[in-house]
Amino acid sequence: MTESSFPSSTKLSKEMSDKLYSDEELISRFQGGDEYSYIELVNRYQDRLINFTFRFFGDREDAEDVVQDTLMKLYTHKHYYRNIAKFSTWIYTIASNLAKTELRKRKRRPQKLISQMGLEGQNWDVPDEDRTNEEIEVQFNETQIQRAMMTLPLHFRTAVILRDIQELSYEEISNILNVPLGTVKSRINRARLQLQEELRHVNETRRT
Amino acid sequence: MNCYKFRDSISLHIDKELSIKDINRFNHHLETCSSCRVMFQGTLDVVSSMKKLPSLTVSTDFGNRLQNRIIREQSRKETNKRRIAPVESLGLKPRYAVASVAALVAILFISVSFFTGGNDNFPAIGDTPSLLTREVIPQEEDPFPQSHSPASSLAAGSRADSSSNQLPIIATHPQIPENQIRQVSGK
Repeated sequence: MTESSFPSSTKLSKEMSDKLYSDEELISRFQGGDEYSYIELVNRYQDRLINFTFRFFGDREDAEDVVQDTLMKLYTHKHYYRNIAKFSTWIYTIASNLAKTELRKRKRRPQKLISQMGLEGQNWDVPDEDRTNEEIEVQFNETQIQRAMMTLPLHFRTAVILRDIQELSYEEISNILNVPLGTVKSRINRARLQLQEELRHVNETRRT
Repeated sequence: MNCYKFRDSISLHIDKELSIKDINRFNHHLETCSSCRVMFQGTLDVVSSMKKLPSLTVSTDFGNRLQNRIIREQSRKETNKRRIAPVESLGLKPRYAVASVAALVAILFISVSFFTGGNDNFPAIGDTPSLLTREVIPQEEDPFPQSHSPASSLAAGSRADSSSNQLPIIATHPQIPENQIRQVSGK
């Protein structure tokens, strides 16, 4: 695939979507040499992956880098996929492993400020009186949820993001993280309890 | 159901994973314990808030950056193919070619080492009782009596007319003066 022959993703994704290929069919076609199938998979998963990695890191730049790396792995290691598991399980596993590796590297670098997290458009000042209460609450919640999320241990954070943001099933999370089902349930429960404790403390501080 | 068990069941209740029996116990405890009630409501709020988080999209240049990476990857593969081609044209796979060359070098080295065993500069195997040093000690006088035994000829030191060995055996020769041994064996 040379630069001149790289197809327009918008046009082809519609064709692929219209034909309603499953993810597993697309990866199989890609393994057979059909690079348009790769583009469709990119279009399907890029936003899902950025939501996963951004909530994981709290930093947009790092999150996009990891998504790029994940999609490159998909391109260079397509033959590693075997049709015994769902494609989504496989790609989330790659993204999760790359995210953990990147996080280990980040620990050696200076920490970024919350204001550099890439939550553009967030209101850091006192809420505007013209806004409805619901709007203020949601805005406040996103920032505080992200902050609270960053206090979670890595394995808790991964599990709760996959469950409550990516809305994956317990079984799929178990396959992605390669841990027993009971462990997944326990991690999700403890993550949620820790988040509610953290956010309750924040709310109480805000009221005083 | 106690508070400990209740706490462990909160997520299962939210995700509808509890049995009917456990749901009843859960609800009963919920009615009777205010602190657990606060914890349960707080957890519900957290889960609800996370589901309302705005969905992100990749940046506008994400596709271009990915495309550029793919093109670079393809160029790299092409370059590697061109490097490997001459080796493969000989009917060899690169890794086998490297292994073959390494094996050949090892065989040559061992052969040279083996066949130079009779060299004057090296002691023959079995002839040398022990060697403390390979240093050649220049001597003005020949302190050792001439002998036809290989051991003594080795102990003779550096002599121009020695055809067998130029490395002195010092430590085991009974006639070697003590000070001579210390001089040579220590470094």
